[in-house]
Amino acid sequence: MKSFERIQPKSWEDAALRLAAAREKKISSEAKGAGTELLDRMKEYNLAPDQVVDLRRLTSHSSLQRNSSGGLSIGALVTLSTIASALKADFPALADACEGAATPQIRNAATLAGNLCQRPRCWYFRSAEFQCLKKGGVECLAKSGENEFHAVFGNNTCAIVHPSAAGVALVALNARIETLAPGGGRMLAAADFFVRPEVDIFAENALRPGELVVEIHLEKPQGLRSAYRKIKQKQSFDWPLADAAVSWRAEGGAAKDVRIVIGSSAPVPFRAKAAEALVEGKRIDAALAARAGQAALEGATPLGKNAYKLPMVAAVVRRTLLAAAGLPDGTEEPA
Amino acid sequence: MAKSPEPPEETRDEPKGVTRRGLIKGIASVVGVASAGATTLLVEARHELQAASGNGAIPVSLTVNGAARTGSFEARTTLAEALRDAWGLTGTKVGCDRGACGACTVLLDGAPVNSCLTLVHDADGRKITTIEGLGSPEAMSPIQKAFVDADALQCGFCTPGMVVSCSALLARNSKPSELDVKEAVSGNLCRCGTYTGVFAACDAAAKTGVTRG
Amino acid sequence: MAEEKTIEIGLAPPHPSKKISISLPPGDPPPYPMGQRPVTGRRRPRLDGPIKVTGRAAFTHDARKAGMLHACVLRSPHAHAKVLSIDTAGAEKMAGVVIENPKKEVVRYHGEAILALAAPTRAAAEDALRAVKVTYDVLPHTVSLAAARKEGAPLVFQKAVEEKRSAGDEPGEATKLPQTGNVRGPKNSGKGDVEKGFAEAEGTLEVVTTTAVQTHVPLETHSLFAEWLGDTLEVQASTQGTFSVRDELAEVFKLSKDKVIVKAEFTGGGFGAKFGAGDYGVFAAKLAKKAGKPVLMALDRKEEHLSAGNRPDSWNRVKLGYKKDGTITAADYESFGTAGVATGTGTGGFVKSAYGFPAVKVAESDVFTNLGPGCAMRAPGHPQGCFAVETALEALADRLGMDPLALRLKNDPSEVRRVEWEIGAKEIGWARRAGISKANAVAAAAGSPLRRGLGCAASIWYTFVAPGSQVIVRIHRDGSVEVENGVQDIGGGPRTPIAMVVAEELGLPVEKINVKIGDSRYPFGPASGGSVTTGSLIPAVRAAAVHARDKLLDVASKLLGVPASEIALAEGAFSAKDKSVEFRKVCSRLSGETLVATGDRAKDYDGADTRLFGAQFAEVVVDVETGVVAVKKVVAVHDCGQPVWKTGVESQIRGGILQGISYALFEERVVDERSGRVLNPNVEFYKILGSKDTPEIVPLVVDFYPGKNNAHARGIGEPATVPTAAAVANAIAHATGIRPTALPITPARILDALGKVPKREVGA
Repeated sequence: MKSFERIQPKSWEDAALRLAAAREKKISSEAKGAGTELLDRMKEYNLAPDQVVDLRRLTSHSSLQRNSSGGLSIGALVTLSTIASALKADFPALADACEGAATPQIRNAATLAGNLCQRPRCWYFRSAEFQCLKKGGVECLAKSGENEFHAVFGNNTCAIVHPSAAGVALVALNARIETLAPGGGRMLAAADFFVRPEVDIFAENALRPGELVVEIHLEKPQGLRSAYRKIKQKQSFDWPLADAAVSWRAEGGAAKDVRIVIGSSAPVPFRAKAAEALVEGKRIDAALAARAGQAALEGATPLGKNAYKLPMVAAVVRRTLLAAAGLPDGTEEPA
Repeated sequence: MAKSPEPPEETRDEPKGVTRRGLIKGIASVVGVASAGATTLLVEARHELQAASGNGAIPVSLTVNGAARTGSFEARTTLAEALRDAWGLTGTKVGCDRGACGACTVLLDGAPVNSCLTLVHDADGRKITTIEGLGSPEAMSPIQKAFVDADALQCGFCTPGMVVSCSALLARNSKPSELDVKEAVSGNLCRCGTYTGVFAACDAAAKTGVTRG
Repeated sequence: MAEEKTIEIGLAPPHPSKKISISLPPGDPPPYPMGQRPVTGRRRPRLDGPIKVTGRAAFTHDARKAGMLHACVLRSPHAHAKVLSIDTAGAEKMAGVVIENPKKEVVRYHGEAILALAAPTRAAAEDALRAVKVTYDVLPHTVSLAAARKEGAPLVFQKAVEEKRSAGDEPGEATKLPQTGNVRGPKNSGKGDVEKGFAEAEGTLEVVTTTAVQTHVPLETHSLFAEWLGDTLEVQASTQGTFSVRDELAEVFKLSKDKVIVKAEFTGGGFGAKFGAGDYGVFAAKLAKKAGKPVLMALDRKEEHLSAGNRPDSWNRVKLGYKKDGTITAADYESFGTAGVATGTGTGGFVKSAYGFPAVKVAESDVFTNLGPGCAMRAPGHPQGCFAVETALEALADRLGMDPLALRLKNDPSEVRRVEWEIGAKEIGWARRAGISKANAVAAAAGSPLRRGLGCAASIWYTFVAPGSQVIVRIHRDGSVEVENGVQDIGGGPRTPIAMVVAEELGLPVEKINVKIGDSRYPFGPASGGSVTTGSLIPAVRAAAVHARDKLLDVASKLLGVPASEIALAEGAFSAKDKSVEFRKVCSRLSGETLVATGDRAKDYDGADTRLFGAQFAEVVVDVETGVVAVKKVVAVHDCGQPVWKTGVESQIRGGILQGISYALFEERVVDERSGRVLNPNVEFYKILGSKDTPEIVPLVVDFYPGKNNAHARGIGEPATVPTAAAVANAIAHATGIRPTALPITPARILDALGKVPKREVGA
């Protein structure tokens, strides 16, 4: 990786100022949490910042805070492994998404905010030898190239899949993402945090230059049910081929405010609105879950080599709904 | 954690090198607008000026296997490089250099992490345990001995990382199931195919009742 | 003079054995008689385990010396290009940088080396590399087997190419073959009267199978540390061949063999890719010479994938002629494969050797592409060929309504493997197969997506012997024992069986034997390829140990006053009747400071079939809703003569199986056709089996005495990986009713074969 200057800010505000200052001076600079994903890109020379502003050693925004109504604020620097072990009971969708991400070693270091802000794993994007659309090239190389691990929804411009499993869970849980910037922070709905390539081809989220994620807020309405499931080719370290998170409020046996979000299938965590509408207000059972799985395929535009993902999306939506409802999905192996 | 400030179009792939003068000017302007205490700022400015001049080495001090280690490293130096190149602790291996194989696994304050994806300065002031710190050929730790007894190794290159991961597992879970072990080493790649030995080794080490792997 | 001797060969009781007469080579001890031995043939911990599990084993990557430089290689980003200019001025200005620029004119694959340089740190070397400016004239490329075969495809080579055999290939004569376009071949071979065989057939069945490029991915990448000590080149190499590296460096640098020292005590895996010094190694030695400093060259993971070898892909067509009772009367076999810019893709070995097919015709062709060179990889050609033939046999069993195992027994004349089939079938519970089929139907009716299946496949490999292996045993007056041989440890762990053999002959504890390996100054040892290490080395170890023992017996005889023939040597003492003298005491009476005994690997004498057999069984569960496969259990029954160190043999079998499962389900090099670049030169998207994909494994070794050498020694590394992918594929076929014909068997392929993947009109 190219040599860079390490900036050790004293505070989050300081960090934001440093990033803004660098931008003003046309110095390329990157904010770093654990750095597990950033270093990967730097080692590939896909990114060669002059400055790296370290956030990892800041003490604030590094813990879980519960509020009186059962809700939760998660500091940007909380690691995936902490979330996986702490939130199993209250927010299983988020805990399971974090628990299954990457490897144990990476989960022990990687932060939630870093996970949300990570760049895509598309092999054309990741290799410095390709100039894809996201890097200022003229076309998405995956669309007409090797796209077996790429998007089946919303892939008209760029076919990346968003790599954050936690993001899928946070959109399903309707989390709010709090940011900090020199001009003042914002509160974004998780669904608005992620942006489609049509909105910004060079980024996967709505953060402005120098803006930092500081907290993730979750509410826990009465009767909240949630789950996350994924399908992987390999059960050890591997990226999901399809994953899903769902949440709803159980109200007299019916599911209310249903959110069904599909991951690894679109450039953003993808809400399956037709499936949500199908399920809304109903009691979830095996037949409804299966129909919802099929409904989740509405609007799919598979590419040359990834249509196989469609049955997977249907399966993972079906299974996730049943998991959140506490029902068997048929994959329980007989003894 | 944040989106990088968008470099100008022509530098998107290969950002221009920054001149030393430009860098120092940049720092000065940051100092000017920052609102924190002046003393800290001065200390930081000194660090940065050091970084901006000479070989760019920044001092770091941490505890490795119970002993204090210090050194001066460029900001880009990973913990794996510092351990292997500066401190001679070559038991920690680099297999993929991207956090995907786990050969570089060390304990950072007790938790297994990839030392290839950890900058040495991120470990400043923290406690590192490497494979060398777990035991020696003459005095192996229980999990190391269990690895030998179960032949949980072949070429031995992934083995240090595998042992470190298992050691951390046993330290937090004295009676792991086989599924727990599989999960604990799911970030450790072995090409010789020693996993079944690793499962047996963890099981045997757990059965000896020694919780500290 | 050779001594005539009667020996017993074959499987141990209760199976029948036979007595044969052999000419015992002069000075060679007679082979182990049937029956248990006190040390060899047993399980025990690996002698070098403690230094490996504590991180003290120093691999080539770990070589560190004051003043050393780190080297790296500039590689082509293009699949095919003319190199127009190379500007190293920027790099030359950097402190401590030395450059070796052979001024390459054409590059033929993504990742081909152009130049190398070294600098005081790896980071500095990378900085320097990025300061080198190269301009290219990009040429048309061809990167897929199918495209490269077509007429008019861009030519990878303008001229005919001669085959270059590497140490890991099956021994054979380099052959001149026709070359048309990018296709080199066919190379024709076979046995029997194929026309007659098909004429006698009552039916024919044809299948076409394909396999993907698999890369070796040793955890330690190819690496070499070079230092010049005067006119002597000393290197540490991550290699499978201490002596093949020495010989290559001696040739390149025009040095006599005594001026090249190669050390290879620990090699972080090889699997067939690490025999030579490599261009990277030659670069390291040249840079070291130029700089006057030691240089470490360690490839990064990407370079390893792109340039350091792979198992070629394959397209295989197999046509079987059969009788209605399942007897195969003939096989017609054709293969194409690409080893990129290299040769050696044939997959026809299995069809010729594995079963008792009376007539076989094989045509194998290499297809050149603009991709990194393939090379030997664990049983070259055989997992591919096994998958093709075993898929055809499975399809035939289906067609004939025969039990798949019964069909194999019908065509398997090997007495050894027939026993292996029987043992394996019992262990996996083959009798459950019909019941599993019924349970699958019930599960389907109940809406469960999980289906279970059993499959089997045969292994075949051959006994090769690397001639010239020699071992020295040194016994000192204090009773300490050293054994020397230059062989390397790539994971097979030769220290342990060497020590076991010597300990057994000298009546000492195994830990007391100091085994010194991995140095070209020790006597010649085999390269670890072709499963030759054990078979080549162990008989020489035993000969040396027996010679040493005999010399000690002479001394003991004088001390005890009884003839040597009456003295037993066990538990650290020489004993005869009621008299006994300690091992150490006998050693203290040696006439010289050290007793030196040598043992040579004698030529093979008569014995059993030289083939290594084996039968594997796999049990899988397939999720037919997602196409995800879980392998639950693999039973592997193999023969490898008399295992010396049973633990090591079992570990090798486990490793072969896990690589086989990984090959069956996950591994595939992905290439972007337009740019010709490899897209997954990493271990993130080049997917390799991990802990959670590991099934229960039952390795079983039959008790077999094949003769041929004094230890009945044979290898196991390769036969263990040959049938696994085919067995897994056949189990998937049983579970799902689909017939996998392409490796890897991905969820996408399974869903597609099940008809669950919608055609493109969905939403498009």
